[in-house]
Amino acid sequence: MTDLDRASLDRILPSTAGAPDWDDVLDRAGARSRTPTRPPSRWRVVAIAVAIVAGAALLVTPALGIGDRLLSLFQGKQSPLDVQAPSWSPDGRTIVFVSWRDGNGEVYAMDADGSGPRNLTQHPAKDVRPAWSPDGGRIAFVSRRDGNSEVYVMDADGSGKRNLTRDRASDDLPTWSADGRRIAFLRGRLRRTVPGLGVQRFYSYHLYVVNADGSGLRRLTLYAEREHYATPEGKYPYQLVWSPDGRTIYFGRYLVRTDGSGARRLPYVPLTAVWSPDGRRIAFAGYGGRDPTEPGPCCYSSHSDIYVMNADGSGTRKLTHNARYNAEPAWSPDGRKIAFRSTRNGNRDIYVMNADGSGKRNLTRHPARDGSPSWSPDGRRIAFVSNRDGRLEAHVMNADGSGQRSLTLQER
Amino acid sequence: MIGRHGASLDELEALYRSRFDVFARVAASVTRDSERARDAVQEAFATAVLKRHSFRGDGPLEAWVWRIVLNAARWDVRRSSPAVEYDKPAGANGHPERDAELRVALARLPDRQRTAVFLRYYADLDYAAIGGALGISTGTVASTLNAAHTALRTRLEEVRT
Repeated sequence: MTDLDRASLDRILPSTAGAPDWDDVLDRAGARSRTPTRPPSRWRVVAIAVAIVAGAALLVTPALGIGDRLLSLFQGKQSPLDVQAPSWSPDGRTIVFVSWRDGNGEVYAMDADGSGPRNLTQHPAKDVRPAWSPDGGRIAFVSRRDGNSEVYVMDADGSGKRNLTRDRASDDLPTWSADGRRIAFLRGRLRRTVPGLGVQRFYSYHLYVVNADGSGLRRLTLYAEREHYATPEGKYPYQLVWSPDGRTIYFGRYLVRTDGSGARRLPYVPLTAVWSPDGRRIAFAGYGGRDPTEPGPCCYSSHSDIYVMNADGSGTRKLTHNARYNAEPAWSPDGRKIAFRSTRNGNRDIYVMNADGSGKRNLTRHPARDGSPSWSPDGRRIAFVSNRDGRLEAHVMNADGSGQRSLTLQER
Repeated sequence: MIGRHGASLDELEALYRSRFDVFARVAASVTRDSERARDAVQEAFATAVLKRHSFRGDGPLEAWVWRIVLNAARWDVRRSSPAVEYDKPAGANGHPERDAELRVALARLPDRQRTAVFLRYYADLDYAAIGGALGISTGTVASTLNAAHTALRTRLEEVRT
């Protein structure tokens, strides 16, 4: 049966019509899984928005961006979902956070010196995920007071609460655009499948955006993503990060254009993505034993490297190569350097490198655990979190590593 | 693999990217039209994406996807009148006459035998995977391929003598 070799069958079979197109596959899947769109008349969403993005926040206040760790200073009962909750006001005078001291999640505010904690939400339903507007005048949050998770906005003193997303789906993770004109959020729907072995329940997520004046509620994603990407950081399936120019949102493994013109699916899941100040590049930490610059399935492991890609998802370059844990990249305000935390010397320290990966230097050189670097707006200082005094606290140093000192909540 | 539940999007994408050509061309042996075969593969992978959590892992992922692809191709044939002849065979190299003979002989095989031949000798699947793709037991794969061999040998000897 010598005729039945691969070469002769290869000659016999028709040639392939066209190149492979995975995006087309996802589009088809999305078209089939799409939930019916409600008519516009029922889009009673009113959004008021002015806002803050984690990335923009880093440029505003030196201590911004380290709220995650600061939370542990004053939050007794801690839910993993609320670790992301605390954030500094743009003027650095106030910190909002989620507290469970009342038995259910409430959004609290306190002065930056730790005084005057006050419950802004005051409702027996869960209120979580506070996010400041860029002008500091308002706070977006997620509340279940209407029976399911909705995005709300209130004034910074807790007055004037308004439901922006009257919908039966679960809305979550409100994220303000840098210009404060729009707010992006995730809408999750509980779904069930009945595979051979029984019913599965899961949430499928779509990314939505709405204008600040409440108009233009729009779903940006075609294909509902239902993966929860487990990471060594634990926490949270998704991160929403607006580009500085507001044209793109990084979401899960997608770079989604906010004009609705589509999304680019990355061949890997970047984590803790940070836009460069000029918006042209994205630094991210990628977990895995496999190099995400190569296509193919990724298998996450216990180490992580820092990568930089172009804003359109192209040109990914690996900047660290040490099979250690490198995470939390932070651009200097001029975009020329990237601070990050690394265990490359066996102990968690803050490092800095040029944006091309050259010139890595250990800035903290301390046996304690240092992390969460955050540049001051003038690029001359770096705030970070360290447990060198026995518990996690905010510290600050000059950009060359000199002058390290504690920056506790009480110090202001 | 035993006991796993669901396939990841990454796995499906990797399979798609590495084997698209094989899927599309074997599907074309069913649809007899490469354009429609491509469409069937796209639809089949969309189905696989949507149903990936129901992949039970009792066989290779590829076999599971093959089954969806072949079903999509057959569905395409059922809902529309198939093209009469394979369109543009891939290569002119090799042995045009013998290729033509083999093509005719393959075309005369029952569908299942023909598909099994392509899965075995072109897609390079083992018997277990072919069984998964065609929804038949490994033993039936063996007998199907045996029957195909016999039929092909007979026909090729007929035309060559």
